[in-house]
Amino acid sequence: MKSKLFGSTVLVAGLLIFSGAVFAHHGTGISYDLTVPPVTTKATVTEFKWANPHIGIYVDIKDDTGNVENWSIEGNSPYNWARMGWNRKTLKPGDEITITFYRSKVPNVHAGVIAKAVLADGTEVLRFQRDTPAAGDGVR
Amino acid sequence: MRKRFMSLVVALFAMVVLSSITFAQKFDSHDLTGVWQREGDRGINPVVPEMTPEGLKRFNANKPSYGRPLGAPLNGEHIGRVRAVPPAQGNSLVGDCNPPGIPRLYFEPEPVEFIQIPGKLLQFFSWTRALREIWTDGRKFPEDVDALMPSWYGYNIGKWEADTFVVDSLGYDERSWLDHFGYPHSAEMGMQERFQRVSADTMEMVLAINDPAIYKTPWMSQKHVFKRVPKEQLTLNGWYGFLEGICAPIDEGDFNKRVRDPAGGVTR
Repeated sequence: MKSKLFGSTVLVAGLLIFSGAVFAHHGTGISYDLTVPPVTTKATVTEFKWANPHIGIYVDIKDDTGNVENWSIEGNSPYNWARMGWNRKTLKPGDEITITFYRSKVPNVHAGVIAKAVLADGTEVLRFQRDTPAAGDGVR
Repeated sequence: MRKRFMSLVVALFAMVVLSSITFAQKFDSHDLTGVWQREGDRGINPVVPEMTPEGLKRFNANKPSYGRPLGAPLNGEHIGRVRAVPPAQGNSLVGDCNPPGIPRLYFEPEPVEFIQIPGKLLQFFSWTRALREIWTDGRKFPEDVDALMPSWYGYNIGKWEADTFVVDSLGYDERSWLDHFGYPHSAEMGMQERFQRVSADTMEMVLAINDPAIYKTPWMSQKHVFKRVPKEQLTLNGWYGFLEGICAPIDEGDFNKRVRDPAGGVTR
């Protein structure tokens, strides 16, 4: 219990400390539209690429008509996320998750930047952007 | 009882204050060894000197992805802050994992380790794992430095001036950008870095860029503050050290092709 509490404290401290670096990721507010609410949807992980300088999260998402499309989601750097407690085993192919992401500004492109992922057991992981747009988002 | 309790509180308070003062004073101003993390926003200085026609030409040819979108209102900021295009449409060499060079590498969010050994000070940058040599053995700059290999990290000579470690450098590769905003430099750029350790856990750095071909006056940086990184912050799974921060083209190329390019509306 004590170590769990400590772990949570470290995670929260990490989030606070690195929020500056996180939101300073280059090109994020340029390629992706952070001025509109992000998409939240069920997804199946097809690949989780823990690599420098950007982590790639690839997921299958079912659209309104039942078609399954593969989406490419941009993550943070391993340097930042490792220090927030996540690693290359945080996601694996086949994981059913709820993913929240901001879409590309380019219409009809299956690409986005992650806000967060939630595992089947409710654990929130890979926090990167906010859940809702904030003043200044997208115009850094 | 109450008096005893108050005495204990006062004694504890005094111990904390005294120990922090003692700790704060206990450092060698000529010892820069350690892992340091720069604080604050990226960039040299929001106050940018006027560029020459050649400088402007190179500046306009550089297409960065950091800052606000190209054409956004200036809002009193420097012009470099409103030039960002999607990375897929940009032309920063770093986007293909080429070396960031100096001083741009200072402005990355990862730390740098200073290692002082006889004859030189080594800077080991976490991001890209670049190793930069600053020679302190009394040498002079190479003759005809332009004839040698252009350097991403410079030909660097360091010396102490009182409590300031002064680094003069020449011979830079003109393809690198000075920062994330795409400010250019020429091969003739000379740079001076001045480091001062002001406390056990704080180091300050000021840069001066002298490049008359590009800037009409020398570009003085703002004061950049570095904080010492505690060991526990760099310990993962019981292993202390930098997580390998290599930008490998095989990874970045894959990422660009699958994420960045489509997100930026580019098909290659």
